Amino acid sequence: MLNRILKLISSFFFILFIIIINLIIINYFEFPFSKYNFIFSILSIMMMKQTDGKIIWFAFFLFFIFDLFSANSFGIIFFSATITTLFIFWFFKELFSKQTIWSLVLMVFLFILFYNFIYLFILSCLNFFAEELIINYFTFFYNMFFEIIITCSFTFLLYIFIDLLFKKINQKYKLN
Amino acid sequence: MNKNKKKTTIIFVSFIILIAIFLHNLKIFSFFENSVKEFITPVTSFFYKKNYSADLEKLSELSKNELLEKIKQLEIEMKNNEIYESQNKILLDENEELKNQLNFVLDNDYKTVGAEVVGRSVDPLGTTLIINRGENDDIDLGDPVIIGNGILVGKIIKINEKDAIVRLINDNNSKIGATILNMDKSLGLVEGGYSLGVKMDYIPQNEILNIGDIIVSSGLSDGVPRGLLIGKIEVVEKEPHKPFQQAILKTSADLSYITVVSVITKI
Repeated sequence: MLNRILKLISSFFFILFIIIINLIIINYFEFPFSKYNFIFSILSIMMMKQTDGKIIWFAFFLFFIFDLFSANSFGIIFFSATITTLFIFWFFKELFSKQTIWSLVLMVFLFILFYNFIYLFILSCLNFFAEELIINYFTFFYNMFFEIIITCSFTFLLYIFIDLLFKKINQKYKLN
Repeated sequence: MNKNKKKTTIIFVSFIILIAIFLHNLKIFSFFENSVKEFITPVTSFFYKKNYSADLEKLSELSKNELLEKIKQLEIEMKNNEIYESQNKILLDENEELKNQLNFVLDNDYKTVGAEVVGRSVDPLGTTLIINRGENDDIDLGDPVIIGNGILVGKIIKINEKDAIVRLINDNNSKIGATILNMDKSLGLVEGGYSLGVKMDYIPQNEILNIGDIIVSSGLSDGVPRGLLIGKIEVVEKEPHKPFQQAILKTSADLSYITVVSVITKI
């Protein structure tokens, strides 16, 4: 029981850590580096390492908090990102038998693509029924292009770094 | 996983998300949400300001020639400002006289709330900022946001208890009624969304626009008082077959780095 509570608390602080890093990237770095989606990067790596459905709940709470920093109505980012996580989770589980770094890059690419299209779809629906928001498609796709390039590249590097780190730690434990 | 099970999972997850959104709108989680924001905001605010100071450092690294060029530019601008000032004085006298003639009562009952910018919002679209004042500080939707003595930078589009979101005037969805301080006092609409620039549209073709003409808010947009400085004309786009002409503006405020703002809460 205590172990479970500790796991929950550590997951919560890990969620906060991921959000803080993502917000720092948005606020500190200039375009196009500010387009690096650290959240999708980490979620994709986590999906590779952890194959059970808990990741969906992790994404649920993560995007709930992340949406608090959005300018649009609450729920657009939360819904689109959580549903995208679910789709990507199934997609990865059923289509990829080998967990390679290239499948990770493909997963990140699909993550951003699905998320942006679901986001655009929800925004267009809301626009049709309620708000009068002008969607600048050129800016949208321009930003998405850089988000894909930057996030895929950095995820690639991050994965290599994490992999090396874990290998070194494992070696150290084996030696001891 | 079979198709039926997938369908059920999607419906279940969507349902849970909708319940969470509903409960959020009922403000049931507001204590939790505010606590989380209070924990995160100082960090993001620190990095937002750090980015601002990094840009200032870049400015201090300018070469001697670049600095001399900038001084020359400023000297020209200063001379222009002296001319504007004298013109302004004449206009002020004229204005006073006209107001007396019209028995116009100047309503300057502005109430402003100072706020700090704590970061940018996370949406894929739009140029918006988060400020550290909200509902608790009497801020309302549509309130104009200014810097300095009255340079318009945006409007409030979303309010939470302790923070609010400002849509900058260069945002794709920003539209503000404006007047050009030229002979015709041309009216038009200042719109954002043209990469980093701002455009003024719907200016009648027959009116004369000059580069450098100053643009202020016209007071015709809901909640935005007349006379807030927006920018000046940089390029005039006039096509004879169109009923209106357009002007590309240079905004008076550097919209990429804003750290402190004031929200006009009562007009």
